[in-house]
Amino acid sequence: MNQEQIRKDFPQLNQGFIYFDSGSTALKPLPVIRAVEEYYKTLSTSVGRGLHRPSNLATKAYEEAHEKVRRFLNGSGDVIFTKNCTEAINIVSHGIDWKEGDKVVTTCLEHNSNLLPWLALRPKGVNVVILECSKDGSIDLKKLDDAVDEKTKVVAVIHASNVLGTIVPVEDISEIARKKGAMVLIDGAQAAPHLKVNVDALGCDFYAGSGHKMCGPSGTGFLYISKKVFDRVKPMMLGGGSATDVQLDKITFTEGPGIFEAGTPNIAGGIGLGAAVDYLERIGMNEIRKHEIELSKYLIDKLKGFDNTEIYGPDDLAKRTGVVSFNVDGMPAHRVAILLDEIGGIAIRSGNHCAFLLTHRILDQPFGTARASLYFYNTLAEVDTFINTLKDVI
Amino acid sequence: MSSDTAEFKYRLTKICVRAGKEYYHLFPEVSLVFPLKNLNELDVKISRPKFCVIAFPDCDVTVFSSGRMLIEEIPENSEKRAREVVDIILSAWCK
Repeated sequence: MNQEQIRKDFPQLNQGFIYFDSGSTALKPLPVIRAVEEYYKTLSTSVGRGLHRPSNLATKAYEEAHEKVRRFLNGSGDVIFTKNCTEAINIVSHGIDWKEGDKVVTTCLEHNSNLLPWLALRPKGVNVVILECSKDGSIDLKKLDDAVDEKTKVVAVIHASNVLGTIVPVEDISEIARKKGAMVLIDGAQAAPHLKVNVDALGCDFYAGSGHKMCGPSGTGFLYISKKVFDRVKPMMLGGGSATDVQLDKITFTEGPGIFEAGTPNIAGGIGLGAAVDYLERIGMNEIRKHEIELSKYLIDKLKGFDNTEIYGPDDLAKRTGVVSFNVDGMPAHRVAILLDEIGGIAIRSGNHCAFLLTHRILDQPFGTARASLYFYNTLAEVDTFINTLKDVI
Repeated sequence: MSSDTAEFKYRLTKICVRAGKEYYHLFPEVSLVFPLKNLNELDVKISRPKFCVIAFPDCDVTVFSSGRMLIEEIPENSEKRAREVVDIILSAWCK
């Protein structure tokens, strides 16, 4: 991985600050920026609607972007584009035909995007079971096995924690769920940008992700749906593109994944997301993973040198992504974040990270953690600056 | 929301509420130029060249030389009190 060259692709890295907040959103490389610009300059028409040449070209580019994401996920099902991971999960939670007494099993590790859509089903009589996890984010698979029963319609779990970096054994969880006849949804927002994902091998039915966290444009996300459950989810919205014919007494709905993208979509964003996938694949997901492990190890080892700092997440680097959450004794996480920003020009995130059950119930940190989230464009030298700045301010 | 305290224009944002406590972030529209040592008449817990932490009975405030501030763990629904705290700091600072 030629990191010097890679960093030249990210204009924002020339702005004089260190960006350790890729868990919130990733920076955008020039090929993605150019793909979006190119669409607006040369193809700026709607998709799937016009017979004219620009519309055909835009449609082809937009459809190819879907195919790129499907290949990136190694899935044999369908990919639909959404505005983010949250929307992708809501499409599933709203689209299933729920009956009173149905059950959803999820965990305390979840981001709100994979918790609130399920909790909102409780008034319909859906039993939402939230399993505790350990402080390092481990989920007891025996307890999960016990919790999943014949009434369980969905098991919804995060692939990698946005707070702890913990990589969840989603393949094992899928197997448990499948044996009991439950559908499996994986929130891949923090995994797809960092790990080589193979949704067919994972055995999941739905895989949701955030395009903007994997170098794609803001306002992009995706939902992968396996062929076997495609008919079990109805679209959350209907409108333009949803029907091939409408009469007073009969609607003929569009067949295929396009029905989940009613209305004119975020075409530029979708094409940009396709460019982001191309970019990540050119670097190689294994290379990205290798670099992030090296960075995380270096950062964690340095943080361990402070006697007043608690680091969260698994000790085993193979079980974590480049997310490193920590707290400093006697210093609120928000203060740590603002000090790093103001004194060192270092962007990290602080707080509950939209994972209140985890930070409050499991970590017992009502105001959350300070979180450095690393990506392939970060360097060991940046980690040194981070550590030196932290030394100066705590 | 934006606010004026004397001539100091800033943006005060409530950033979180938890367990009956709130955090506010004050971001100045134009950085201040007064030295932090002017704050010595207040209860300064931590003093560094570019920032200090001031203790109030109901909260701590991290203050930067730029005028940026973090009001920490003030009781819930205290925006008015947060602005009072800012005014107290500014009065001492800008003397």
